Amino acid sequence: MRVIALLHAIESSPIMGFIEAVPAYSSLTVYFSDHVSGAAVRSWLTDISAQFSNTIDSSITTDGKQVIIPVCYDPSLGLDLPWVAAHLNLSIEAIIHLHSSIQYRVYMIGFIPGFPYMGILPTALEVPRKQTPSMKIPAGSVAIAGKQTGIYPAEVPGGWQVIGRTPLKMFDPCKSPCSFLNAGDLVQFKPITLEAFNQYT
Amino acid sequence: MSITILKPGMMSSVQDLGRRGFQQFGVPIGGAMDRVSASLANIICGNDENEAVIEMTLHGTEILFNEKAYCAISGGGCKAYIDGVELPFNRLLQVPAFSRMITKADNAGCRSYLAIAGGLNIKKEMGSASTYISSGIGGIQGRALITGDLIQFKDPHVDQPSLKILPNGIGMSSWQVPQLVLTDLILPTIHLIKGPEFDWFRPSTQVSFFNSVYTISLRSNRMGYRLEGQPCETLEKKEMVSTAVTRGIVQVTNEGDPIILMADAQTTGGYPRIARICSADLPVLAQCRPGTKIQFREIGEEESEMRYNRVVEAMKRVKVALNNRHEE
Repeated sequence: MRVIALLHAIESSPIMGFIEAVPAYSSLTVYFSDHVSGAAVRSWLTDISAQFSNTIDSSITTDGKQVIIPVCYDPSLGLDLPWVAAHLNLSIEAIIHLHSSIQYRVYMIGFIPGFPYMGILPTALEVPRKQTPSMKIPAGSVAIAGKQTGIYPAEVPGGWQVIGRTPLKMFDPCKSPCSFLNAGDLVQFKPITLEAFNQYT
Repeated sequence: MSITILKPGMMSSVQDLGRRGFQQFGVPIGGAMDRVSASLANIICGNDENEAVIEMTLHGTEILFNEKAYCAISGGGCKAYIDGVELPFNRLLQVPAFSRMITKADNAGCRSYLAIAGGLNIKKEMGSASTYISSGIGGIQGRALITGDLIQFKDPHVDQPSLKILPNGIGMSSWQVPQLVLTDLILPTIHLIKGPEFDWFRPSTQVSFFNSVYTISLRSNRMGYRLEGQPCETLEKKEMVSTAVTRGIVQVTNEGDPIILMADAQTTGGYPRIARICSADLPVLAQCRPGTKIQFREIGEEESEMRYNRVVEAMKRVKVALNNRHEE
């Protein structure tokens, strides 16, 4: 995760007027205030990346926090589980096992506030997006598409295949940080029963 | 002290200059579409530029002032009246208690900003009062204004300004600040810089993009403006890896339609970014209503910064001039 390492390098020696840096899969976008010139920012970033290339192999750590996220894979919540099972020719149990057996990296937060783009999904679980996006995907829905898995923090239209739901709140504007996950975090899903899901407070 | 929304009109919402530092969590900057006019309205009232204001889209808004207030309107898209008296834009206004302000159609501009001296009393969420409707953050319950909304305003720090008072109690300053964002432009020129994926496009598109006229589609809102005109074609069908995007980025959909990202744009996107708009021209775009024809001109980064700094300087001059006036 060179992107996250570079993000940490930038955040630890910010230029005056630095606002934030937004990591994505293979890019890091730096936002700065209009009091600084593009030239000043460019020279600052050149310096940082020069130092960065020298230190990348040794000192900079990229360890994000490790997070366990409970997910109920009951078909009443994992609305597309039957379709996914049929499409992949796998049992629902096998899908649950495959999805929850490995750790995923959060590559970026985007689409809507708090939505984590995570990967890399086991090849056996790769499915296409929906032909026509669903008008309403319930908040907390855990979904897959291509090599990615994600969690819908709020009820929105969406095109990923929903295989479960977490009782955790992924985004809360009143909390700091507002997003439950950060780019760089490592996520493992833990299957829970429908009873456990309903009792979750 | 408060105002009541009697009619929201086409679309009205509470905005300030936006929330910064949360794009990494998927939260857009948001805020006033035309930041210059929103700032001007505040400056006229003696407020901090970042105070919450009411952004009114086109016309049809009706607001009841429950108490006497000092306020200012800036921007465009409507004409404002109280009891048949037209309220001039860009002047400090005194509005008597129980006045009903209405906005009617004007043929230029798209968004007007009502600032009230003292500022609106809106609880900030994530550092801003701006309403981000898609996620229900900020403003009044995270939504557009509706009939019956009561908005408190804070004590004005305007001390008895010398205003010309009309018989019905409406007052207006003799001075007027310049309209920094022109709203009556025909075929405005929008300046832009090549985007990170400009090279992905066919040579013919690279030329035509800067030389053809685009129309702002009806499918345009605070998130983005869709453009109709010469489609933009890429050299090959390449899937783009999602990356950060923000207001001012022009991305091109798979169908070839350019979309200009505006204040409430998503923070990440997977379409090639053909260009980015000079920040000085975003307020101009905010004042372009659907159906407006625009043309592009390519500029370099330095010219873009120069154009933006010119706007910042103009705002500073207004502030200095008003401060001198207040000290007189």
